[in-house]
Amino acid sequence: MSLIFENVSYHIKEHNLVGEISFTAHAGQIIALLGPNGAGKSTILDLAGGLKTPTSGKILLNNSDIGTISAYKLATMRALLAQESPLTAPFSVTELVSLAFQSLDHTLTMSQKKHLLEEVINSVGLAEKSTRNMQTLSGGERQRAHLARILLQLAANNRPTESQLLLLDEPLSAQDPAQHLMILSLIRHYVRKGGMAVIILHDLNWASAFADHIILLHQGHIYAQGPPGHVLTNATLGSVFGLPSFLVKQHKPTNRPYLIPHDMLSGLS
Amino acid sequence: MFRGFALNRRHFLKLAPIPVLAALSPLAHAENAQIIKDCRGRPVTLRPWQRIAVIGGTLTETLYALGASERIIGVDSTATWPKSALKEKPSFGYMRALAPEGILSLNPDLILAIDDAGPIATMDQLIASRIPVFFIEKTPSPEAVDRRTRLLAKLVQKTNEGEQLCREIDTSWNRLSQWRGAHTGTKKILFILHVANGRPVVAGRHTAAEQIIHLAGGKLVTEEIEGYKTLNSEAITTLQPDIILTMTENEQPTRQLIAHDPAFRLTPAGQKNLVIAMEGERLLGFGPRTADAALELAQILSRA
Amino acid sequence: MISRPSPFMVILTLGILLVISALFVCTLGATGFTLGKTGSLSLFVIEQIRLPRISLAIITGAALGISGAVMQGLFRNPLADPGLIGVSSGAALGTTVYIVLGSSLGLDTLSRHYPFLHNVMLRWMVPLSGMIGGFCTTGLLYSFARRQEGLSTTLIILTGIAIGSFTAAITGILTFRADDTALRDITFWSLGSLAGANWSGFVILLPFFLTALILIFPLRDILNAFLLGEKDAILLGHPVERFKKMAILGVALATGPVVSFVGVIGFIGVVVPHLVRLVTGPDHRIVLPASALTGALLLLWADTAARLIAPPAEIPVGIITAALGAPAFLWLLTRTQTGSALS
Repeated sequence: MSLIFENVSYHIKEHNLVGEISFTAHAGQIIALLGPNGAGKSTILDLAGGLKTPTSGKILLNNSDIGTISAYKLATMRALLAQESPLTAPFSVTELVSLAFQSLDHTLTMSQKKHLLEEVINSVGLAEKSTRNMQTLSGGERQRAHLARILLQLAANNRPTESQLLLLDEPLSAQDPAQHLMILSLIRHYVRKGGMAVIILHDLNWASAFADHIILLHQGHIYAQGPPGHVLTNATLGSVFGLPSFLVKQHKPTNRPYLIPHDMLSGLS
Repeated sequence: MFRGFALNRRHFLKLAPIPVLAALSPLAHAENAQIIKDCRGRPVTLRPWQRIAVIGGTLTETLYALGASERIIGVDSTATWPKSALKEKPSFGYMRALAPEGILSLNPDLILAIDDAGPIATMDQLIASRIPVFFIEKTPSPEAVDRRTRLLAKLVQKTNEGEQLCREIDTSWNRLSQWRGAHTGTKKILFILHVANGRPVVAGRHTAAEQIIHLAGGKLVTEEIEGYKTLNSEAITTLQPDIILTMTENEQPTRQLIAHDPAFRLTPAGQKNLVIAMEGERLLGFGPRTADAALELAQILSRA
Repeated sequence: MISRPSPFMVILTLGILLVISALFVCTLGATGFTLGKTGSLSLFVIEQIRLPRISLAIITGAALGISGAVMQGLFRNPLADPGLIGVSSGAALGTTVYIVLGSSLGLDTLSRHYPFLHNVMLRWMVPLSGMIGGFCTTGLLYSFARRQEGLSTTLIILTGIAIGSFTAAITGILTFRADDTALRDITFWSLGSLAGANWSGFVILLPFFLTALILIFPLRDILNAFLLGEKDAILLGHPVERFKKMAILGVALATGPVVSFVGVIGFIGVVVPHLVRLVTGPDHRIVLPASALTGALLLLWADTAARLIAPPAEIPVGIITAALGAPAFLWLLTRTQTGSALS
């Protein structure tokens, strides 16, 4: 899998949501999209998922223009976890997750399906709640059920993981800290198998710990991109997020930066 | 029981489907069967029917007047006269919204229907049931009253009673023309059928109300309207009716309307509060009492 | 914990219930049932009156039930009913136009020259004009709600409201022009009745109904995906725009003709899918067939009540479905704590 943005811009009327976005991402990578609210992160995710068509520029998925790929084929190549779901139907977790089976042709037997279903629900930590009504679950649990659904969307078809793309819009937003680690590990595991993930994150420390490539966005443009140590600096964060509220330090064993809020430092000194 | 069924079936197959052929067959001639045609030209073999389902208030009224009420097994909801009819006979609903099975359930041997009975699908099925269905014209005219009365009398073998009734009706028509000969002057009349949503539904041309008003020597002010339609206030002031005619059934709402609608106060009828109410079936049914109603109306008009 | 009955058992039970009901109801009626001493009249009543009527009740109920399920899925709104896409109001306009203006269209003159044509028109012009009105209104709504980027469900609802009140206004103007007899005919049409059922009507309706089923049943998976929202349905690879067209076309084909024939029968389209989902859960693979069967079952019994309550007269079945449907709806609402649990 490769995902290439070539000078991509997207406007709605005169509003320029994102402009001149260029980056290249490869299989085996976690790409983190960072930036303040309104920087254009979700728009880039929608563009990468084929939900929006660029006003100008080109998006290549596995070297073919995303606009030329049929909706059905696209569904076997990429899955996208939206920030929120308007679902109100009283599906159980299992029923919700298995909607992914219904949408795509597959050659799976009943027992293979059952196994996949259990595996994917297990992987997001909902095994014990698999028969619960979605409406009785917490926001975080619902979000993980949808994560399981899109993981199954990719797992249920014959396409190899190497040619698949996972797009996640703030997958940690409703989760507790233990789940942050669990979900990011899950994604890393997926990527190590050969997949690729583009994730919108707000927590810079998690981004630093897990991302292979960080794209820092500012007002619709890429402010900086590269490995965490290159992007997460006092200078870039200061200009993108405004006031210098963090102090960036280096984590020696991994060479990845980590951030400490300024307040804590002033309290220490 | 089995024999009865078989017989019935054979009888049915031979005679009922096409009465014309039946009439031409020697068997029919042997029975001396008489064929008559209804207003749609459909032939029906005359029989001494004993269980008649009647659709159309005028027909029920006439049959009662002929003394044939015991042969009626069911009526529709327009059978408002005599008042006993709807009490002693089962009703199968409004004459334009009939269901076939209700009528058939009464096991009629004749279905007598005024020409605009409906819906068509129901009438089709009644005809298909092979129970004779006889349609009778609904024309609102003195001649049609005479024709209807004689026809109904013939259908129930009450020819003498029919003659008698027609003579009585004729007497009333004659008295009416005498009265009109002696009294000149034409009153302008507005006929209010009923009040719907606070607006009067009035009679226009080609209605029974128009006919009866002409017969009584009045002039319908709403002759530009076709049928019974709702009228707006402004039209009332320009029409300037001398008299408002309505049916007893709807007299109260009509009087209230005239009392409260300022448009009526600008008309001669409204100023003098001249509202005449007459029983609906008698006035508009063009049955046995309509001649009498016309005479009464003529007398009221010339006195008013 | 959610436990669902097996879809197979639900469909089987409903199917058996429907067959038993149809056979049983066939023995009920103002004439009574006298199979032992079947005369030709009882045979006629059963063959030519009750059977076509029962068949009509079944396809009408099924059409309204399944259309309701499709509409509620398409709009992801528990209040959606087939009327939203304008078929019913259009059919009402069409029939009113014919009932009020029919006589002035010169049909009487026509009858003198072509009695056969006149006979056909007399019988079929009301349903035909209803169908034309229904399809035209839905088409109009569709063309208004269509945008370059696709069909917007919100726009359909808003356009539907506008077109609905516009057709109601025209219907109103026409009824103002209508004479008393036409007004009564319109009133009875708007109350809905299966009393005019016959085999020829059924034979005309059946192809529409079957075509609608053929269009609607393949939509079951995408209807499920649509519960996740339009965006997720697209992400799952569904042809969403085609789906919306097919859903609207299917519902118009299912409801337009039956409404034109039998008039307005309320609440089946709204209540039945709710009732079904209460038992089966939201999966449309079972909700669609179960709604069709339940709609058929309910209308069959409602019509039986209409036939039996006041013999030899009848009550318009629309009154019965509204009288039973409204309390049933309220009961459903009290049973669910939140509105969302309904959908």
